Amino acid sequence: MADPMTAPAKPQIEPAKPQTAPARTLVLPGDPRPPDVHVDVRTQELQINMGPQHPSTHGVLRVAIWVDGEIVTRAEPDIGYLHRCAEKIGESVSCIQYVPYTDRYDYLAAMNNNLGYCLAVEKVAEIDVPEKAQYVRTVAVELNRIGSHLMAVGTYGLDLGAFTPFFYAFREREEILRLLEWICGARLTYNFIRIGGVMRDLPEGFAADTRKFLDLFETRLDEFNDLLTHNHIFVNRTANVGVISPDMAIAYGLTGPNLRGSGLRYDLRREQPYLLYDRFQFDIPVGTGIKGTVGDCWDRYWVRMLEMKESVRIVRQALDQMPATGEIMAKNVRHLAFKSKPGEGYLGIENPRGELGYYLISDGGANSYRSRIRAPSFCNLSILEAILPGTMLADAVAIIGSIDIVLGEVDR
Amino acid sequence: MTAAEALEQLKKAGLGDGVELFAGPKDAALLVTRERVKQLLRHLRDSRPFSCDLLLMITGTHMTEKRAPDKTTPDGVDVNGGVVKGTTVKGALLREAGFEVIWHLRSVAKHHLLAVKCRLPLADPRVDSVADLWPAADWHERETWDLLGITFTGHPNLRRILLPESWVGHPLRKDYVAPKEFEGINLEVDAPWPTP
Repeated sequence: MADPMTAPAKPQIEPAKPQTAPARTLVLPGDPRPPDVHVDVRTQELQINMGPQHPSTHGVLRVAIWVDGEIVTRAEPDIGYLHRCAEKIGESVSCIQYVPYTDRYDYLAAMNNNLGYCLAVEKVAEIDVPEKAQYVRTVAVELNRIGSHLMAVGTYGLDLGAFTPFFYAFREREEILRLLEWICGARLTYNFIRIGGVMRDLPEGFAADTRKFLDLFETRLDEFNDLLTHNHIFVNRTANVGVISPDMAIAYGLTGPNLRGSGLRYDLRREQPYLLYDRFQFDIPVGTGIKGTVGDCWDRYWVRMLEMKESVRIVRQALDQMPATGEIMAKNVRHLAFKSKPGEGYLGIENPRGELGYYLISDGGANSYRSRIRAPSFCNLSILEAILPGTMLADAVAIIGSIDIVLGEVDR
Repeated sequence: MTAAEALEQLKKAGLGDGVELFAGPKDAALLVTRERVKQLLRHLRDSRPFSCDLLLMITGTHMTEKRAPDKTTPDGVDVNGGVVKGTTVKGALLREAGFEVIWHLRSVAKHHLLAVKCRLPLADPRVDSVADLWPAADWHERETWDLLGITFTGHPNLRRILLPESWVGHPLRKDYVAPKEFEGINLEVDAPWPTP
């Protein structure tokens, strides 16, 4: 291989060479025609561009897809359109100032991103967070997880042409945004979880309102299942499509609902409990291949639906157990002159999209010496190259949607 | 399994050469020479007590040289009343300049997290690629090359991933100076608005 330090960079996407594709032997599942019919049809390989402006790429993702007829032969995700120098900013502003930036990476689960960063700083700087603050954090991140999954399943239906469920999902999400707006004043980028605790206590009447919402939400999940989950068209578009085997999921570093959709029971809230997750009872749903094969698009979708129910359980328990009064901010955090102890640490939490990790190195100053974000969407997206070839072009949308990426986090 | 326990296991298996413990104030890691990186990572993935099958991330850090403050003795007066110049002693070297590459591995079956670290010289930052062991390493190595300029030898497709292909330099290096202009776009902070 040429030395990349000196050699000129290779062009990003090689121009598609006009060529005659070899005789096609790929037979579509369920196609009654004998393969010879296909062999007779000679097609030319064609490169098409999906994105960066495309409604089904959920942001500015560009996927270069090579197709032979309707079958994808090669796919190459091209990312970086939303690169905002996240890690460089992490080195040039103080830890306290960096918290609002973390909102902007996974903007659908901003609470979880705040939490991941704050926990990592607290680990390196050795800060103990009061119990009450930990309960408030749990309520906030689990509500945010429901909101994020609602967005994922709602837009997934939209990708596949089901327009109505999207509005039902957004009706519920609106309620969650209202609750989160009530506790911190923002609807999307919260900056609510701070280093050492939370911004402020839950407002009066919040617990009662949240409980009322959770009761209603559970009945509405059933409604959503009737609309989308068991819808014949939706099942046909997603079952047996984009199957990821457990071995493949691990090899590509998949985490979160994508890994669990492949049948692996792995959740950091259970394996390495952070916050107070060891005090709550909840199940970890995994894909079982009810409608098709284990690890297909439908399984990944279904894991998210079941996870929302588990989040409802966790929020209820957290509200029950939460002490009425208590400190919400650690005593030893001097916010105006915060300096971390020298050291380095990695901390991973269970984001709605997978394992969100922050790897921080501090050399004793106000700024991190290095702040690396292990973004779950970035790792999950890399599997596209492997699972798209061999599928139908129309299924590419179903597969990209089922992985549930947020481009703000992929590109950072 | 902690890094210290992992090192014990490695020594028992006769693979302890070139591996030592990096005991940071918080997280510990296995510090390995760059010749042994790939062999060690393969062992951690395949052997039973470790089974670190999930590669979480690969990243690097540019470490600048760090010295203790210089010690200067003040000027003095000798017995004859003459001035004796004070001396300056250069501070001790606390940290050598160079790159650190770190691999975070998680075991899905055994629920542990191990970190492997390798130090590379500033002038020649290259280390073996593990893209053939984990497909997940592909993008992480590309990102580390893109932002830090660390070369992963044996990577099938080492090119920029986040920045444009024609970008010059590696922004996460501590001595990086942001360009003033990129392909005709003025990047200066206080640049005037372009006139139509």
